[in-house]
Amino acid sequence: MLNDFLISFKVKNAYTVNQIIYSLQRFPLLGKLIPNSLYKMKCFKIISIIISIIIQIVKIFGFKLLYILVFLIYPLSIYQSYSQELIIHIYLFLALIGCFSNTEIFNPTKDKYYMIVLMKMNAKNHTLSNFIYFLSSIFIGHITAMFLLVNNIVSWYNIILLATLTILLKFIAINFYFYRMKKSNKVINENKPSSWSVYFGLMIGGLALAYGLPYFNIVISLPIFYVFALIVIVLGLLSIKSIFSYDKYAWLYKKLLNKDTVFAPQQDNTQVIATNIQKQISVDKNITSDKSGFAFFHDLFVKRHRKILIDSAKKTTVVILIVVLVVAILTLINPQIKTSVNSFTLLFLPYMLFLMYFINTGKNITNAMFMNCDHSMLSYRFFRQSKTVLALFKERLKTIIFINLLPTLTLAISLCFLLFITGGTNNYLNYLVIFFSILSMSIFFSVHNLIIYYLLQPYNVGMEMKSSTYTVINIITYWACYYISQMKVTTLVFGSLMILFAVIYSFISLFLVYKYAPKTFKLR
Amino acid sequence: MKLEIKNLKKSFEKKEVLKDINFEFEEGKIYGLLGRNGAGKTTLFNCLNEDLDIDSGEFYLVDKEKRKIESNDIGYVLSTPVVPEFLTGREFLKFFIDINKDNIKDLKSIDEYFDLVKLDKDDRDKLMKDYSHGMKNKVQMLVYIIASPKVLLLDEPLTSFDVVVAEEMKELLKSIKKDHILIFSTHIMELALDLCDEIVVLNKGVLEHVDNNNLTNKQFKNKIIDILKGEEDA
Ligand SMILES: Nc1ncnc2c1ncn2[C@@H]1O[C@H](COP(=O)(O)OP(=O)(O)O)[C@@H](O)[C@H]1O
Ligand SMILES: [Mg+2]
Repeated sequence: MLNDFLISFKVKNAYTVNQIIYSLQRFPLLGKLIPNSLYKMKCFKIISIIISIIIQIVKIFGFKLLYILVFLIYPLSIYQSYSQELIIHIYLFLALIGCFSNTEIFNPTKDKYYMIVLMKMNAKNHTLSNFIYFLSSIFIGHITAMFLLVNNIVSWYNIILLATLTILLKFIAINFYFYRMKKSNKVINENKPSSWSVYFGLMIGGLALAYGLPYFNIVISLPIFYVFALIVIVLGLLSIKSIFSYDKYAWLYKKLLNKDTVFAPQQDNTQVIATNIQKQISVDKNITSDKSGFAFFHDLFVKRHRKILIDSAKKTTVVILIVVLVVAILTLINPQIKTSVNSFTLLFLPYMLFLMYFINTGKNITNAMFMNCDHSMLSYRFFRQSKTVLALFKERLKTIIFINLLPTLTLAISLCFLLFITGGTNNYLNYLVIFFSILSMSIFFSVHNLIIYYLLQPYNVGMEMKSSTYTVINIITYWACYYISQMKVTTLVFGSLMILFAVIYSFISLFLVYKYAPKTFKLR
Repeated sequence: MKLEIKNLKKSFEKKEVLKDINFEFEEGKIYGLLGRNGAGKTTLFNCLNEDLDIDSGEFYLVDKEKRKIESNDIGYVLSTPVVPEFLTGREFLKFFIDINKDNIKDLKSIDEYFDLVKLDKDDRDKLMKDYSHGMKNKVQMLVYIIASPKVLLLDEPLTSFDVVVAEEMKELLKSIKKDHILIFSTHIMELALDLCDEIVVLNKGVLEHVDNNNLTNKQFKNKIIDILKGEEDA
């Protein structure tokens, strides 16, 4: 069995390495330096085995530590109470949730697919050896984390008892699943429960018991815990035997492991999005256009994609209006709210950047443009001529800015309106700055989304997102917006800087698009 | 008019797909580009259409003098046809004609063009997302028949048509071959022999013309198969 485990570890290692090389190669500049021969290189294999081991260690110790911190220590700090009973109480309910939702045996993973289906390893040996590793890592990880974090509250034997119970509970849950499968003759997939509502009901119920009961000062007392532990130990030990003697692992994985269950999450992203966007094309016969050339082409694109392009902007606008209305009414009723809204509107501008980031539909629009239009059109040579690329870029920029203008103007006017009805400001310039800086934010995001689409065109023929630069830039944009929204500066300063920035950014990026897009805008 | 390829090389990493391509394609002829699966036919077309950057060598048109291939000089019908699915066939043609007005000689009406490839009247105003593979292929072909580029590359085009349509397409290609350089890739020998004036074989990264002077059909076939097979063993 150890041998089985080592083989599967080696294989797992091999394809993590390949994945690392593959994604490195897709990196800008750096990627060009990485030859395919790296796949064969010995020293790289060894380095990657070391990396794999480090990842495993982080998984065992780091993740468990994080788990205990987030789910135990943090709630305790909210309750301001650090009793042994409370910790045991929360831990037990979490273990109960975990034992049914995370069994490893019923999890259709890529590893299992490669090893059992493709490489025809013995299903039972492979599963059990990896299962033992899985349980050991939980056991060791939890004990280490608990000793480090709650050693002074929970006694050492209770820590060991808790970790043991976690493991035994998994055995019981698996045994229960085996029983259910025998009854219903249906294979259980822990990631696809037969009823999501029951699944979430139990999850939320468990969490409510874990964190809710202590609020009413109800926690499992130590004697009850020991009785419970005794029952779990007895049932758990009985279950161990049946799990090791279960002889239908081959059958189970034959049913459980297929391309849909194993690879579904990844396929979903590109394929399902692509077909979904395709379905969004309106078949309304009355849609026509009296324009010609690019304007005609683009006009029809926009009209036939009304649903995805315009409706979301409209929805956002309605939500903004409702929120503003509610706030406005509140300020009329309560003078205290009125003064706080007044000062808030003057401090709100930086947050607005973050809000605009989410409101802007540019990314969805470029997505639809690629899936339903450019993906096919880019294989036509005339479509890649500079004059075509630029003519269409112009039409598209206008449309994106225009579509986003509706929620933007609503927001800008609303904020000025709120400022006005809550007592106004001494400096009338504030109104102008609020209005124009929000406008400039919207234009900035519209330009930004479209130009990175044109300059980086991140998709390949198979409609997969292939440019890591694109992803990196999106992450940077997100964090930049986040950090800027945390700034504490006056409206006047922030707003003016924002307007200036948006103007400069737009000019530079338009220049870049006109210079480089004809070369960069093609299928990867 | 000639399309000349000189010492064209293209590799993916270390894999040399096109080793040393040298050829002159002449106007008024249909060339059958024969090659086994994975021989590099699509790669060659992608290079000629500048979808791929070549490693070395050059290709150009020779009119009276040597000149670069411009966008309007070349048309490329992909083996899996792609069309903008949110447009109807008619709208797509209208768009194409709109933006290429200046380059189109003796412009016909859109319906006349559709008649040319025998696309059903009902289908002309349907969104192309509901088109079949063959219908999309017809539209893609039509775009280039309208633009009438000097060089037309067709990557395994007839494979997706049923017998009747394939026959119609063959006639269509024969009717436009005057004034054009048509290169037609396929791995099906009968198709190539049936339609093409000249046979070139792509094998082991080089392009070789197969002369059919004084050969019976049978002998010619055997000669081609020998080339495809023989160099494999070498
Ligand atoms: N983008 C690419 N990256 C790496 N190898 C490629 C790529 N495109 C094609 N190839 C390889 O080049 C060879 C020729 O492919 P292709 O031109 O599609 O052949 P054909 O069209 O004659 O069947 C194949 O071996 C294929 O694996
Ligand atoms: Mg091919």
